Amino acid sequence: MKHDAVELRWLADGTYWLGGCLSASAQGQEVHYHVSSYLVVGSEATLLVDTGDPAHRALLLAQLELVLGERPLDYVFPTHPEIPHAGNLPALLDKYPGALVVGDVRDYHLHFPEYRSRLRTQAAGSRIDLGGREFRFLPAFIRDLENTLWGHDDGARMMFVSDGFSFIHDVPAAGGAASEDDDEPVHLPGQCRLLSGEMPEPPTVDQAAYGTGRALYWTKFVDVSDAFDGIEAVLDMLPTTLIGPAHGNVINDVDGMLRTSLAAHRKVYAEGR
Amino acid sequence: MSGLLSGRIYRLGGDIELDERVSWCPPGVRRTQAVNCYLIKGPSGSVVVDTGVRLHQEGIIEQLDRLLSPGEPLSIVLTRTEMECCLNIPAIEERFPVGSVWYTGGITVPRSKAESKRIAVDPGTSMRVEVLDGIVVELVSPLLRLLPTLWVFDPESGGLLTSDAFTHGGSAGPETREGLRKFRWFTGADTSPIARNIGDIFRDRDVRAVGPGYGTPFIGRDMCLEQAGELARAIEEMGIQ
Repeated sequence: MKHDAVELRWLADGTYWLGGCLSASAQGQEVHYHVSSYLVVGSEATLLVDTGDPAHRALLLAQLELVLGERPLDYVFPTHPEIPHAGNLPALLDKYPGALVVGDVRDYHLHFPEYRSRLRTQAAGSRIDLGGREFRFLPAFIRDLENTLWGHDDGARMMFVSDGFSFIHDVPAAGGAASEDDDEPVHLPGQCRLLSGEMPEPPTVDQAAYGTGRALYWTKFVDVSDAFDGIEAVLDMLPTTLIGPAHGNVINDVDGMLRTSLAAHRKVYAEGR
Repeated sequence: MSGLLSGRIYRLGGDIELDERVSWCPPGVRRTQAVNCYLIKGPSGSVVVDTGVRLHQEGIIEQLDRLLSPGEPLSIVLTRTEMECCLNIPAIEERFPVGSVWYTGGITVPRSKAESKRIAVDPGTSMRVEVLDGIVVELVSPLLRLLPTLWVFDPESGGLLTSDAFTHGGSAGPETREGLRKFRWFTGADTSPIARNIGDIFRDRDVRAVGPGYGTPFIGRDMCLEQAGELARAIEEMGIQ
Protein backbone atom coordinates (compact mmCIF):
# COMPACT_ATOMS: atom_id res chain seq x y z
CA MET A 1 0.00 0.00 0.00
CA LYS A 2 1.40 3.41 -0.88
CA HIS A 3 0.01 6.83 -1.49
CA ASP A 4 0.55 9.00 -4.48
CA ALA A 5 1.16 12.70 -4.19
CA VAL A 6 -1.61 14.19 -6.27
CA GLU A 7 -1.92 17.86 -7.03
CA LEU A 8 -4.96 19.66 -5.70
CA ARG A 9 -7.61 20.67 -8.21
CA TRP A 10 -9.58 23.89 -8.46
CA LEU A 11 -13.23 22.99 -9.04
CA ALA A 12 -15.10 26.28 -8.94
CA ASP A 13 -14.74 29.72 -7.42
CA GLY A 14 -13.46 29.16 -3.88
CA THR A 15 -13.82 25.37 -4.07
CA TYR A 16 -10.86 23.00 -4.15
CA TRP A 17 -10.41 19.23 -4.34
CA LEU A 18 -7.71 18.17 -1.88
CA GLY A 19 -6.38 14.94 -0.44
CA GLY A 20 -4.92 12.13 -2.50
CA CYS A 21 -5.24 8.61 -3.72
CA LEU A 22 -4.16 5.39 -2.08
CA SER A 23 -2.95 2.62 -4.29
CA ALA A 24 -2.86 -1.12 -3.90
CA SER A 25 -2.50 -4.25 -5.94
CA ALA A 26 -5.74 -5.97 -6.90
CA GLN A 27 -5.39 -9.28 -8.70
CA GLY A 28 -1.94 -8.30 -9.86
CA GLN A 29 -2.96 -4.91 -11.17
CA GLU A 30 -2.24 -1.52 -9.62
CA VAL A 31 -5.45 0.24 -8.68
CA HIS A 32 -6.17 3.51 -6.94
CA TYR A 33 -8.92 4.92 -4.81
CA HIS A 34 -9.55 8.49 -3.82
CA VAL A 35 -9.50 9.66 -0.24
CA SER A 36 -10.66 13.21 -0.87
CA SER A 37 -11.21 16.40 1.08
CA TYR A 38 -12.86 19.54 -0.23
CA LEU A 39 -12.03 23.10 0.79
CA VAL A 40 -14.68 25.82 0.56
CA VAL A 41 -13.40 29.38 0.86
CA GLY A 42 -15.80 32.24 1.60
CA SER A 43 -15.00 35.90 2.07
CA GLU A 44 -15.37 35.55 5.84
CA ALA A 45 -14.64 31.93 6.69
CA THR A 46 -13.24 28.67 5.35
CA LEU A 47 -14.51 25.10 5.73
CA LEU A 48 -12.91 21.74 5.00
CA VAL A 49 -15.15 18.76 4.16
CA ASP A 50 -13.50 15.56 5.46
CA THR A 51 -9.97 15.44 6.79
CA GLY A 52 -8.54 12.77 4.50
CA ASP A 53 -6.46 9.82 5.56
CA PRO A 54 -3.47 10.12 7.94
CA ALA A 55 -1.33 8.73 5.11
CA HIS A 56 -1.98 12.07 3.38
CA ARG A 57 -1.51 14.29 6.42
CA ALA A 58 1.57 16.17 5.18
CA LEU A 59 0.11 16.43 1.68
CA LEU A 60 -3.17 17.81 2.96
CA LEU A 61 -1.52 20.37 5.22
CA ALA A 62 0.65 21.53 2.32
CA GLN A 63 -2.39 21.78 0.04
CA LEU A 64 -4.23 23.85 2.63
CA GLU A 65 -1.28 26.15 3.06
CA LEU A 66 -1.05 26.60 -0.69
CA VAL A 67 -4.68 27.72 -0.96
CA LEU A 68 -5.13 29.53 2.33
CA GLY A 69 -1.75 31.19 2.74
CA GLU A 70 -2.03 33.22 5.93
CA ARG A 71 -5.78 32.69 6.26
CA PRO A 72 -6.95 30.30 8.94
CA LEU A 73 -9.07 27.23 8.48
CA ASP A 74 -12.22 28.04 10.46
CA TYR A 75 -14.31 24.88 10.25
CA VAL A 76 -13.59 21.20 9.78
CA PHE A 77 -16.58 19.07 8.80
CA PRO A 78 -15.78 15.37 8.99
CA THR A 79 -18.79 13.77 7.36
CA HIS A 80 -18.50 10.88 9.84
CA PRO A 81 -16.01 9.48 12.34
CA GLU A 82 -14.03 7.05 10.23
CA ILE A 83 -10.30 7.28 9.64
CA PRO A 84 -10.45 8.45 5.98
CA HIS A 85 -12.93 11.17 6.94
CA ALA A 86 -11.75 12.28 10.39
CA GLY A 87 -8.32 10.73 10.89
CA ASN A 88 -6.43 14.00 10.39
CA LEU A 89 -8.50 15.97 12.90
CA PRO A 90 -5.67 16.23 15.48
CA ALA A 91 -3.19 17.54 12.90
CA LEU A 92 -5.70 20.06 11.55
CA LEU A 93 -6.83 21.28 14.96
CA ASP A 94 -3.22 21.66 16.10
CA LYS A 95 -2.24 23.62 12.99
CA TYR A 96 -5.35 25.81 13.06
CA PRO A 97 -6.02 26.50 16.76
CA GLY A 98 -9.14 28.53 16.05
CA ALA A 99 -10.79 25.85 13.94
CA LEU A 100 -14.02 24.22 15.13
CA VAL A 101 -15.24 20.71 14.32
CA VAL A 102 -18.78 20.92 12.92
CA GLY A 103 -21.41 18.40 11.90
CA ASP A 104 -22.92 15.47 13.75
CA VAL A 105 -20.16 15.35 16.34
CA ARG A 106 -21.47 12.45 18.40
CA ASP A 107 -18.67 10.07 19.47
CA TYR A 108 -15.81 12.47 18.76
CA HIS A 109 -15.33 13.15 22.48
CA LEU A 110 -14.51 9.45 22.87
CA HIS A 111 -12.02 9.46 20.02
CA PHE A 112 -10.44 12.88 20.49
CA PRO A 113 -11.09 13.83 24.13
CA GLU A 114 -8.44 16.56 24.15
CA TYR A 115 -10.44 18.54 21.57
CA ARG A 116 -13.89 18.15 23.08
CA SER A 117 -14.23 21.93 23.68
CA ARG A 118 -13.98 22.51 19.94
CA LEU A 119 -16.88 20.28 18.89
CA ARG A 120 -20.02 22.07 17.61
CA THR A 121 -23.16 20.24 16.60
CA GLN A 122 -24.64 21.25 13.26
CA ALA A 123 -27.82 19.37 12.56
CA ALA A 124 -29.10 18.51 9.10
CA GLY A 125 -30.77 21.62 7.72
CA SER A 126 -28.56 24.07 9.61
CA ARG A 127 -26.28 26.45 7.75
CA ILE A 128 -23.02 28.31 8.17
CA ASP A 129 -22.49 31.64 6.43
CA LEU A 130 -18.96 31.60 5.00
CA GLY A 131 -19.29 35.09 3.51
CA GLY A 132 -20.76 35.35 0.02
CA ARG A 133 -21.74 31.70 0.16
CA GLU A 134 -23.59 29.44 2.51
CA PHE A 135 -22.75 25.90 3.56
CA ARG A 136 -25.76 23.77 4.40
CA PHE A 137 -25.67 20.49 6.32
CA LEU A 138 -27.81 17.77 4.78
CA PRO A 139 -29.04 14.38 5.92
CA ALA A 140 -26.91 11.57 4.55
CA PHE A 141 -29.36 9.72 2.36
CA ILE A 142 -26.95 6.85 1.74
CA ARG A 143 -24.48 6.18 4.54
CA ASP A 144 -22.89 3.62 6.75
CA LEU A 145 -22.43 5.15 10.21
CA GLU A 146 -25.41 6.70 11.97
CA ASN A 147 -23.67 10.03 12.59
CA THR A 148 -23.03 10.86 8.95
CA LEU A 149 -24.05 14.11 7.28
CA TRP A 150 -23.78 15.38 3.74
CA GLY A 151 -23.32 19.04 2.81
CA HIS A 152 -23.98 21.60 0.11
CA ASP A 153 -22.21 24.80 -0.87
CA ASP A 154 -24.35 27.25 -2.78
CA GLY A 155 -21.29 29.16 -4.03
CA ALA A 156 -20.03 26.31 -6.19
CA ARG A 157 -23.43 24.59 -6.36
CA MET A 158 -21.70 21.50 -5.07
CA MET A 159 -23.05 18.69 -2.92
CA PHE A 160 -20.69 16.68 -0.71
CA VAL A 161 -21.84 13.10 -0.31
CA SER A 162 -19.24 11.32 1.83
CA ASP A 163 -19.36 7.58 1.02
CA GLY A 164 -22.23 8.00 -1.43
CA PHE A 165 -21.62 7.94 -5.20
CA SER A 166 -18.17 6.46 -4.65
CA PHE A 167 -18.30 3.88 -7.36
CA ILE A 168 -17.98 5.51 -10.71
CA HIS A 169 -14.59 4.13 -11.68
CA ASP A 170 -13.52 1.45 -14.02
CA VAL A 171 -13.19 -1.83 -12.18
CA PRO A 172 -10.23 -3.94 -13.19
CA ALA A 173 -11.08 -7.59 -13.53
CA ALA A 174 -14.65 -6.94 -12.41
CA GLY A 175 -16.35 -10.15 -11.47
CA GLY A 176 -13.03 -11.79 -10.72
CA ALA A 177 -11.90 -13.49 -7.60
CA ALA A 178 -12.06 -10.47 -5.33
CA SER A 179 -13.68 -11.01 -1.96
CA GLU A 180 -16.97 -9.36 -1.15
CA ASP A 181 -15.07 -7.67 1.64
CA ASP A 182 -12.81 -5.81 -0.79
CA ASP A 183 -14.64 -2.56 -0.29
CA GLU A 184 -12.59 -0.01 -2.20
CA PRO A 185 -14.20 1.72 -5.15
CA VAL A 186 -11.08 1.65 -7.28
CA HIS A 187 -9.91 3.36 -10.42
CA LEU A 188 -6.86 3.04 -12.64
CA PRO A 189 -3.60 4.99 -12.49
CA GLY A 190 -3.98 8.10 -14.62
CA GLN A 191 -7.63 8.57 -13.63
CA CYS A 192 -6.94 10.34 -10.35
CA ARG A 193 -8.54 13.73 -9.87
CA LEU A 194 -10.64 13.51 -13.03
CA LEU A 195 -14.21 14.71 -13.27
CA SER A 196 -16.67 12.00 -14.20
CA GLY A 197 -17.10 13.59 -17.60
CA GLU A 198 -13.36 13.38 -18.21
CA MET A 199 -13.20 9.60 -17.65
CA PRO A 200 -12.63 7.58 -20.83
CA GLU A 201 -16.19 6.27 -20.70
CA PRO A 202 -19.06 6.76 -18.31
CA PRO A 203 -19.44 3.86 -15.89
CA THR A 204 -21.83 1.10 -16.76
CA VAL A 205 -24.52 0.04 -14.33
CA ASP A 206 -22.58 -3.19 -13.77
CA GLN A 207 -19.43 -1.30 -12.84
CA ALA A 208 -21.33 1.00 -10.51
CA ALA A 209 -23.10 -1.97 -8.92
CA TYR A 210 -19.80 -3.79 -8.39
CA GLY A 211 -18.53 -0.99 -6.19
CA THR A 212 -21.84 -0.20 -4.54
CA GLY A 213 -22.37 -3.69 -3.18
CA ARG A 214 -18.90 -3.76 -1.69
CA ALA A 215 -18.63 -0.25 -0.26
CA LEU A 216 -22.16 -0.21 1.17
CA TYR A 217 -22.87 -3.79 2.19
CA TRP A 218 -26.30 -3.11 3.67
CA THR A 219 -27.67 -1.91 0.34
CA LYS A 220 -27.84 -5.58 -0.72
CA PHE A 221 -30.68 -5.96 1.73
CA VAL A 222 -32.51 -2.66 1.32
CA ASP A 223 -34.34 -1.02 -1.57
CA VAL A 224 -32.89 2.51 -1.53
CA SER A 225 -35.35 4.03 -3.99
CA ASP A 226 -36.74 6.23 -1.20
CA ALA A 227 -33.26 7.61 -0.56
CA PHE A 228 -33.03 8.64 -4.19
CA ASP A 229 -36.39 10.41 -3.90
CA GLY A 230 -34.84 12.34 -1.02
CA ILE A 231 -31.73 13.14 -3.02
CA GLU A 232 -33.79 14.37 -5.96
CA ALA A 233 -35.90 16.54 -3.66
CA VAL A 234 -32.74 18.19 -2.35
CA LEU A 235 -31.41 18.68 -5.85
CA ASP A 236 -34.70 20.36 -6.80
CA MET A 237 -34.30 22.72 -3.87
CA LEU A 238 -30.56 23.33 -4.12
CA PRO A 239 -29.17 23.81 -7.63
CA THR A 240 -26.24 21.42 -7.98
CA THR A 241 -23.75 21.07 -10.79
CA LEU A 242 -21.04 19.12 -8.96
CA ILE A 243 -21.17 16.16 -6.58
CA GLY A 244 -18.11 15.45 -4.46
CA PRO A 245 -17.78 11.94 -3.04
CA ALA A 246 -14.98 11.09 -0.64
CA HIS A 247 -13.87 8.05 -2.61
CA GLY A 248 -14.80 8.70 -6.20
CA ASN A 249 -14.20 11.07 -9.05
CA VAL A 250 -16.08 14.37 -8.78
CA ILE A 251 -19.33 14.10 -10.71
CA ASN A 252 -20.14 16.81 -13.23
CA ASP A 253 -22.91 14.91 -15.00
CA VAL A 254 -25.35 14.94 -12.12
CA ASP A 255 -28.46 13.72 -13.92
CA GLY A 256 -26.67 10.90 -15.73
CA MET A 257 -24.91 9.68 -12.62
CA LEU A 258 -28.12 9.73 -10.60
CA ARG A 259 -29.71 7.41 -13.14
CA THR A 260 -26.71 5.09 -13.21
CA SER A 261 -26.41 5.08 -9.46
CA LEU A 262 -30.07 4.29 -8.83
CA ALA A 263 -29.94 1.50 -11.41
CA ALA A 264 -26.81 0.15 -9.72
CA HIS A 265 -28.45 0.13 -6.30
CA ARG A 266 -31.49 -1.65 -7.72
CA LYS A 267 -29.24 -4.26 -9.30
CA VAL A 268 -27.37 -4.82 -6.04
CA TYR A 269 -30.64 -5.19 -4.15
CA ALA A 270 -32.12 -7.56 -6.72
CA GLU A 271 -29.01 -9.74 -6.68
CA GLY A 272 -28.84 -9.69 -2.88
CA ARG A 273 -32.32 -11.13 -2.47
CA MET B 1 -9.80 -5.23 33.63
CA SER B 2 -11.43 -8.56 34.19
CA GLY B 3 -11.06 -12.15 33.06
CA LEU B 4 -13.58 -13.11 30.43
CA LEU B 5 -12.39 -16.70 30.39
CA SER B 6 -9.99 -17.47 33.17
CA GLY B 7 -6.34 -17.31 32.24
CA ARG B 8 -7.02 -17.01 28.49
CA ILE B 9 -9.10 -13.95 27.58
CA TYR B 10 -9.09 -10.66 29.48
CA ARG B 11 -11.39 -7.73 28.98
CA LEU B 12 -9.71 -4.31 28.78
CA GLY B 13 -11.06 -0.77 28.51
CA GLY B 14 -13.35 1.29 30.69
CA ASP B 15 -16.75 2.92 30.98
CA ILE B 16 -18.28 5.80 29.06
CA GLU B 17 -21.35 7.90 29.70
CA LEU B 18 -23.92 6.46 27.32
CA ASP B 19 -26.08 9.45 26.42
CA GLU B 20 -27.15 11.58 23.49
CA ARG B 21 -23.51 12.33 22.65
CA VAL B 22 -23.00 8.70 21.63
CA SER B 23 -24.27 7.62 18.22
CA TRP B 24 -25.24 4.08 19.25
CA CYS B 25 -27.25 5.26 22.29
CA PRO B 26 -30.98 4.54 22.00
CA PRO B 27 -33.26 7.57 22.50
CA GLY B 28 -33.86 8.45 26.13
CA VAL B 29 -31.17 6.16 27.55
CA ARG B 30 -28.65 7.62 29.98
CA ARG B 31 -26.32 5.31 31.86
CA THR B 32 -22.74 4.14 31.87
CA GLN B 33 -21.57 1.54 29.40
CA ALA B 34 -18.40 -0.50 29.13
CA VAL B 35 -16.34 -0.08 25.96
CA ASN B 36 -14.13 -3.13 25.59
CA CYS B 37 -11.14 -4.55 23.86
CA TYR B 38 -9.64 -7.92 24.72
CA LEU B 39 -6.38 -9.73 25.29
CA ILE B 40 -5.97 -13.41 24.36
CA LYS B 41 -3.01 -14.87 26.25
CA GLY B 42 -0.98 -17.52 24.44
CA PRO B 43 1.98 -19.66 25.48
CA SER B 44 4.59 -17.36 24.01
CA GLY B 45 2.78 -14.16 23.18
CA SER B 46 -0.60 -12.49 23.23
CA VAL B 47 -3.19 -11.07 20.86
CA VAL B 48 -4.99 -7.79 21.41
CA VAL B 49 -8.43 -7.78 19.80
CA ASP B 50 -9.35 -4.15 19.06
CA THR B 51 -7.65 -1.34 20.94
CA GLY B 52 -10.44 0.62 22.64
CA VAL B 53 -11.39 4.29 22.52
CA ARG B 54 -8.72 6.93 22.95
CA LEU B 55 -10.59 8.22 26.00
CA HIS B 56 -9.40 5.03 27.73
CA GLN B 57 -5.93 4.95 26.23
CA GLU B 58 -3.98 5.47 29.43
CA GLY B 59 -5.99 2.86 31.32
CA ILE B 60 -5.63 0.29 28.55
CA ILE B 61 -1.86 0.71 28.50
CA GLU B 62 -1.80 0.22 32.29
CA GLN B 63 -3.96 -2.90 31.98
CA LEU B 64 -1.64 -4.34 29.34
CA ASP B 65 1.35 -3.49 31.52
CA ARG B 66 -0.11 -5.65 34.29
CA LEU B 67 -0.96 -8.57 31.98
CA LEU B 68 2.08 -8.77 29.73
CA SER B 69 5.59 -9.92 30.48
CA PRO B 70 8.40 -7.56 29.45
CA GLY B 71 9.10 -8.02 25.75
CA GLU B 72 6.16 -10.37 25.21
CA PRO B 73 5.31 -10.52 21.48
CA LEU B 74 1.95 -9.07 20.50
CA SER B 75 -0.35 -9.19 17.51
CA ILE B 76 -3.34 -6.94 17.09
CA VAL B 77 -6.54 -8.13 15.40
CA LEU B 78 -9.10 -5.50 14.44
CA THR B 79 -12.71 -6.59 14.20
CA ARG B 80 -13.44 -3.45 12.19
CA THR B 81 -11.37 -0.44 11.18
CA GLU B 82 -13.65 1.97 13.01
CA MET B 83 -12.11 4.43 15.40
CA GLU B 84 -13.06 2.63 18.61
CA CYS B 85 -11.11 -0.35 17.31
CA CYS B 86 -7.90 1.13 15.98
CA LEU B 87 -7.04 4.58 17.36
CA ASN B 88 -4.93 3.22 20.21
CA ILE B 89 -2.62 1.22 17.95
CA PRO B 90 0.14 3.88 17.97
CA ALA B 91 0.14 4.10 21.79
CA ILE B 92 0.26 0.31 22.16
CA GLU B 93 3.03 0.05 19.60
CA GLU B 94 5.04 2.66 21.39
CA ARG B 95 5.12 0.59 24.57
CA PHE B 96 4.91 -3.05 23.42
CA PRO B 97 6.48 -5.07 20.59
CA VAL B 98 3.65 -5.42 18.08
CA GLY B 99 4.58 -7.71 15.20
CA SER B 100 1.50 -7.47 13.03
CA VAL B 101 -1.92 -5.85 12.74
CA TRP B 102 -4.66 -7.94 11.13
CA TYR B 103 -7.60 -6.07 9.63
CA THR B 104 -10.40 -6.43 7.13
CA GLY B 105 -11.85 -4.02 4.61
CA GLY B 106 -9.88 -1.85 2.28
CA ILE B 107 -10.61 1.85 2.35
CA THR B 108 -9.35 2.25 5.89
CA VAL B 109 -5.82 1.04 6.43
CA PRO B 110 -4.89 1.11 10.12
CA ARG B 111 -2.08 3.45 11.05
CA SER B 112 0.66 1.18 12.31
CA LYS B 113 4.41 0.72 12.20
CA ALA B 114 3.93 -3.05 12.38
CA GLU B 115 3.20 -5.20 9.38
CA SER B 116 -0.40 -4.66 8.29
CA LYS B 117 -2.05 -7.89 7.25
CA ARG B 118 -5.28 -7.42 5.38
CA ILE B 119 -7.61 -10.37 5.49
CA ALA B 120 -10.82 -10.83 3.53
CA VAL B 121 -13.41 -13.32 4.69
CA ASP B 122 -16.62 -13.45 2.70
CA PRO B 123 -19.74 -12.64 4.75
CA GLY B 124 -21.30 -15.80 6.12
CA THR B 125 -18.03 -17.75 6.15
CA SER B 126 -15.03 -18.06 8.45
CA MET B 127 -11.32 -18.74 8.30
CA ARG B 128 -8.83 -20.13 10.80
CA VAL B 129 -5.71 -18.01 11.06
CA GLU B 130 -2.61 -18.29 13.23
CA VAL B 131 -2.40 -14.61 14.15
CA LEU B 132 0.61 -15.16 16.41
CA ASP B 133 2.84 -18.18 16.91
CA GLY B 134 0.76 -20.60 18.97
CA ILE B 135 -2.52 -18.69 18.76
CA VAL B 136 -4.98 -19.85 16.11
CA VAL B 137 -8.29 -18.03 16.03
CA GLU B 138 -11.27 -18.44 13.77
CA LEU B 139 -12.19 -15.19 12.05
CA VAL B 140 -15.94 -15.28 11.52
CA SER B 141 -17.46 -12.88 9.00
CA PRO B 142 -21.03 -12.30 10.18
CA LEU B 143 -23.92 -11.06 8.08
CA LEU B 144 -24.75 -8.80 11.02
CA ARG B 145 -22.62 -5.82 10.09
CA LEU B 146 -22.52 -2.32 8.78
CA LEU B 147 -18.92 -2.27 7.59
CA PRO B 148 -16.53 -5.14 6.93
CA THR B 149 -16.51 -6.95 10.27
CA LEU B 150 -14.87 -9.99 11.81
CA TRP B 151 -15.85 -11.78 14.97
CA VAL B 152 -12.96 -13.54 16.66
CA PHE B 153 -13.59 -17.03 17.99
CA ASP B 154 -10.95 -18.61 20.21
CA PRO B 155 -11.51 -22.38 19.94
CA GLU B 156 -9.28 -23.08 22.91
CA SER B 157 -11.46 -21.17 25.37
CA GLY B 158 -14.79 -20.91 23.57
CA GLY B 159 -14.68 -17.11 23.68
CA LEU B 160 -16.44 -15.31 20.83
CA LEU B 161 -15.55 -11.62 20.52
CA THR B 162 -18.40 -10.00 18.66
CA SER B 163 -17.31 -6.45 17.86
CA ASP B 164 -20.40 -4.22 17.52
CA ALA B 165 -22.93 -7.02 18.12
CA PHE B 166 -24.36 -8.29 21.43
CA THR B 167 -23.88 -4.80 22.83
CA HIS B 168 -27.05 -4.64 24.94
CA GLY B 169 -25.67 -6.15 28.14
CA GLY B 170 -25.14 -4.01 31.20
CA SER B 171 -28.40 -2.18 31.76
CA ALA B 172 -30.73 -3.14 34.60
CA GLY B 173 -33.24 -4.65 32.20
CA PRO B 174 -31.30 -5.28 29.00
CA GLU B 175 -33.36 -4.90 25.86
CA THR B 176 -31.74 -6.85 23.04
CA ARG B 177 -33.04 -4.34 20.53
CA GLU B 178 -31.13 -1.55 22.31
CA GLY B 179 -27.97 -3.00 20.85
CA LEU B 180 -29.23 -2.73 17.30
CA ARG B 181 -29.39 1.05 17.16
CA LYS B 182 -26.40 1.11 14.84
CA PHE B 183 -28.16 -1.23 12.40
CA ARG B 184 -31.21 0.87 11.67
CA TRP B 185 -31.04 -0.22 8.04
CA PHE B 186 -32.56 -3.49 9.24
CA THR B 187 -35.96 -1.81 9.32
CA GLY B 188 -35.98 -1.75 5.52
CA ALA B 189 -34.50 -5.19 5.00
CA ASP B 190 -35.50 -8.82 4.90
CA THR B 191 -33.42 -9.76 7.92
CA SER B 192 -34.18 -13.49 7.93
CA PRO B 193 -30.78 -14.50 6.48
CA ILE B 194 -28.99 -12.32 9.01
CA ALA B 195 -30.92 -13.83 11.91
CA ARG B 196 -30.31 -17.34 10.59
CA ASN B 197 -26.60 -16.63 10.36
CA ILE B 198 -26.52 -15.82 14.10
CA GLY B 199 -28.06 -19.22 14.80
CA ASP B 200 -25.60 -20.96 12.50
CA ILE B 201 -22.60 -19.33 14.14
CA PHE B 202 -23.66 -20.51 17.59
CA ARG B 203 -24.79 -23.93 16.42
CA ASP B 204 -21.45 -24.68 14.80
CA ARG B 205 -19.27 -23.64 17.75
CA ASP B 206 -19.05 -24.34 21.44
CA VAL B 207 -19.39 -20.73 22.57
CA ARG B 208 -18.78 -20.32 26.28
CA ALA B 209 -18.47 -16.54 26.47
CA VAL B 210 -19.53 -13.63 24.26
CA GLY B 211 -17.34 -10.54 24.48
CA PRO B 212 -18.85 -7.50 22.72
CA GLY B 213 -17.04 -4.27 21.84
CA TYR B 214 -19.42 -2.40 24.09
CA GLY B 215 -21.69 -3.54 26.87
CA THR B 216 -20.99 -6.27 29.38
CA PRO B 217 -20.09 -9.81 28.23
CA PHE B 218 -22.28 -12.88 28.50
CA ILE B 219 -20.70 -15.85 30.24
CA GLY B 220 -21.66 -19.51 30.12
CA ARG B 221 -22.89 -21.82 27.34
CA ASP B 222 -26.55 -21.55 28.20
CA MET B 223 -26.45 -17.79 28.58
CA CYS B 224 -24.66 -17.40 25.23
CA LEU B 225 -27.18 -19.60 23.44
CA GLU B 226 -30.08 -17.77 25.05
CA GLN B 227 -28.68 -14.39 24.05
CA ALA B 228 -27.97 -15.57 20.52
CA GLY B 229 -31.57 -16.72 20.23
CA GLU B 230 -32.88 -13.43 21.54
CA LEU B 231 -30.66 -11.41 19.23
CA ALA B 232 -31.75 -13.46 16.22
CA ARG B 233 -35.39 -12.89 17.19
CA ALA B 234 -34.86 -9.15 17.62
CA ILE B 235 -33.17 -8.94 14.21
CA GLU B 236 -35.98 -10.88 12.59
CA GLU B 237 -38.66 -8.70 14.17
CA MET B 238 -36.89 -5.49 13.24
CA GLY B 239 -36.87 -6.30 9.52
CA ILE B 240 -39.66 -6.05 7.00
CA GLN B 241 -42.17 -8.85 7.53
